[in-house]
Amino acid sequence: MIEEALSLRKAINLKEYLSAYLFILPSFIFLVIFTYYPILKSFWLSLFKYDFSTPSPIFSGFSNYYTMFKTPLFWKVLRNNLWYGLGTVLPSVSLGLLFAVLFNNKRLRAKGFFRFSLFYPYVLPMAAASMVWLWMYNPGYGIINLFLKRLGLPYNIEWVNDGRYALLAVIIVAIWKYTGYYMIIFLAGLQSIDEELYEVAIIEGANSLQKFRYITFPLLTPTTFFVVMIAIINSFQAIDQVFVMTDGGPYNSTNVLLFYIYENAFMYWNLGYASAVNSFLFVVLLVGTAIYFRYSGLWVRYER
Amino acid sequence: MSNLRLKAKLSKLIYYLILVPVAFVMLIPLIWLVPTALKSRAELFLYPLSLIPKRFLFSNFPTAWSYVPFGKYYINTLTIVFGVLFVQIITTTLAAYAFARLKFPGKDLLFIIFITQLMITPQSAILPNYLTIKSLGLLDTRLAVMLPYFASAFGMFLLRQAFITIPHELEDAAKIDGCNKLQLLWYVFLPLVKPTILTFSIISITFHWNEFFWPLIITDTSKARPLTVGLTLFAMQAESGAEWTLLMAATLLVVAPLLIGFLIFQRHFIQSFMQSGIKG
Repeated sequence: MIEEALSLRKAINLKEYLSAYLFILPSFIFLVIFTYYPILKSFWLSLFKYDFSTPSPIFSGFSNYYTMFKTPLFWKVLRNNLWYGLGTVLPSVSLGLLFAVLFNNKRLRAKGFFRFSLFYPYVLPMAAASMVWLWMYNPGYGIINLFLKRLGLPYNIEWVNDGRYALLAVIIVAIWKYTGYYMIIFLAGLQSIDEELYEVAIIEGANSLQKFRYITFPLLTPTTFFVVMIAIINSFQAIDQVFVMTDGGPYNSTNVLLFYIYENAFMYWNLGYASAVNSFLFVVLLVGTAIYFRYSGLWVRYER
Repeated sequence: MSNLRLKAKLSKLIYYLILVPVAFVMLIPLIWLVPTALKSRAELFLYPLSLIPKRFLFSNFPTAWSYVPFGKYYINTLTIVFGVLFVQIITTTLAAYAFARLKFPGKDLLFIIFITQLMITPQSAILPNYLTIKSLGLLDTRLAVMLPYFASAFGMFLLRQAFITIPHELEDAAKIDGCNKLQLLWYVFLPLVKPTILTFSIISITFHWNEFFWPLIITDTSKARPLTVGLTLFAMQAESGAEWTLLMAATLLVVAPLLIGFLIFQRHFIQSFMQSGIKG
């Protein structure tokens, strides 16, 4: 009897295992082919000389990396990317926080309107939005220069064709696009703060600034960290607006890592070298996302 | 007491003093886009500029439409967006169910393999994926644009979290009624997690409607090109700078469906994106 029951139990278990594997299989196949294999392939290819003149790859060790670290343009591109990151992360995160605090007021009217106007940029395609901004940046007839002219400021600015302004022009678009998104993440954080803390603070005679300094900001620290990490990761993935607005120029002043990889791979067909830069970017992004997951509590949330 | 009320009024005033100009600045691209799309080319360069066109020129839309095959691009985008979503819902539902309810050897390891995908941004796989697609002979097809997204670890997690909350009693009852696992998923689990499916759908649709760089690289002709890529190619044709009215008309056509969807389902959109983190 007992043996029979045990073997039945075993059969049921086997059947359950099998169906579990079958259920996971489709996702697993696509994950392996389009996420894990590409990463390994990128590292593998980076060890080869593989370009227009060498159609069949020749093993070359770390020479692509050596070339990369010795190429001034690579450093310029990396510097651009860091400036772009600094220029977008600081303003968009702090503005997002400011707007969230202002917005988190129950007595506010026209909330739907404010919410729409702050968040809609995030929903639009970056490529299409960049097209609108390109028209706004138009030197002769764009709204930005017309506005500067009205204010009596210098207005003949070639926003995207002048190496001094092009990166700024790209940064402004990114701030416009992401601020509303960071705002709503902050809002979610704000809404989880216990109201009673503020009531106590009011009784103790705290003003608005003190309430922010001693309650809101410290309790928002995890959210702030979370948002900053998302913003940094986003900054290393920028390419759409660069492609549409500046094409990396003028004189590489808006050339960022992803665009640099694109240029080397698909315009110069320098696949080995592009793979080396790609692997570098991958490591940068992986470090970023790993920190993000380590501290965002998502690991906890995803645990059983 | 009146002092307090005055203070409340004052703080409200400060909110509006900051938020109204900010909202206005954020809306400038939209305010600038719509009239341009409706103006004649001559009116565009008139000074002082007006926000309301003297004559509404709706013909800009068909004209833009006649320059490049936007109809084809629309079909491509819709096929890609809903094709990806359809396959994702199948793959993620199956995997989510296995991770939420079934016991099997190697579950933890497989779970970690899935989790790790959340940390790998699709952009860092574009170059090798291009080579894979090329070797499969799938360059310049809509399938190629969709393929890398057929599995979604993010969708799997959302669904798994939702499945875990479903009481076991429901499952047992269905089993006694003779449901097999697939029927159980279709008739019991999926209807119960509709809000989660909606959340995931909004994120997935927006992401793939907006996607630009991967389809740009993988497509070569209007056969497979989505709207975002078609739009930028149209812009390159009209580079003289005088075609801004047509270009903005085309841009409006590209963004209109998302903008309208966002207007109607604002709360859903915002709640969905609150959960999307770096995958969005």
